[in-house]
Amino acid sequence: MNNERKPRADSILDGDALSDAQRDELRDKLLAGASHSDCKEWLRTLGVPEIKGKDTLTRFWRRHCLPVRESNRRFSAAKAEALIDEAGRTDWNTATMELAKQASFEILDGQQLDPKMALSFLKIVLKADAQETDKTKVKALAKDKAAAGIDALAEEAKGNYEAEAALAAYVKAIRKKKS
Amino acid sequence: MNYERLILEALQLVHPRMLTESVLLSDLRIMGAKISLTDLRAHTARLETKSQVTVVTGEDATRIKITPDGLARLAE
Repeated sequence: MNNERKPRADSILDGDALSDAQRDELRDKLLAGASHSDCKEWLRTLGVPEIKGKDTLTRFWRRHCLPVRESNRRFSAAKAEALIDEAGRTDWNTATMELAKQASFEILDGQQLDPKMALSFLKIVLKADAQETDKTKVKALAKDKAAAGIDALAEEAKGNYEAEAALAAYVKAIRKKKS
Repeated sequence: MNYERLILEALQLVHPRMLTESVLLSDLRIMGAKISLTDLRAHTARLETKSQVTVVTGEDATRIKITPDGLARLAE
């Protein structure tokens, strides 16, 4: 009696029919969302015997794709926490912080944000951006005012050697203090 | 197949973040669970009564996160 068991169909994908590079490529195709039928078609072009078992690719996914997906997802969650914490927004309340972290995680994980969350997140980002722009404008305005003040003094001091020298020393001292 | 444990394990990966119902359902099915959305909701409702998950129902999506009690259950 022949006691040899027929090898499981999915052992083909882990065996010699595929090189390591091809196995990685199959893994990446599945992770990118390729359908099982597309993958089977691709395997056929490589000369791999036809896979008839309906769970073969599901088992391949669990062995090869799931660990990668789990690692990526864990990383996305950690990265989202770090990104938002590093932004250092002291003006955000807990709810805003949580929304920003959750939206960031879903984006990093490649998920599709639902419309309401996408809109709320965009508003937070745009508001934060507008606040940064305002801060920059205020600084520039202050700088302009200072320059305008010095120009007016320079005009007044024209022709007066002592006044011009004093003004030059003052400007030098202010610039030194700023640097 | 212990669906409650599978749900908690999927949520533990992203803690303290949440997973949407659709992503969680997709994950469970990929792991071989023959589970419908109704089944998933029944399991998460049970987990919520045990305070092991929190379910947040939004306008567009329902999200679920694991709680400290849920993490403790996995650690047992």
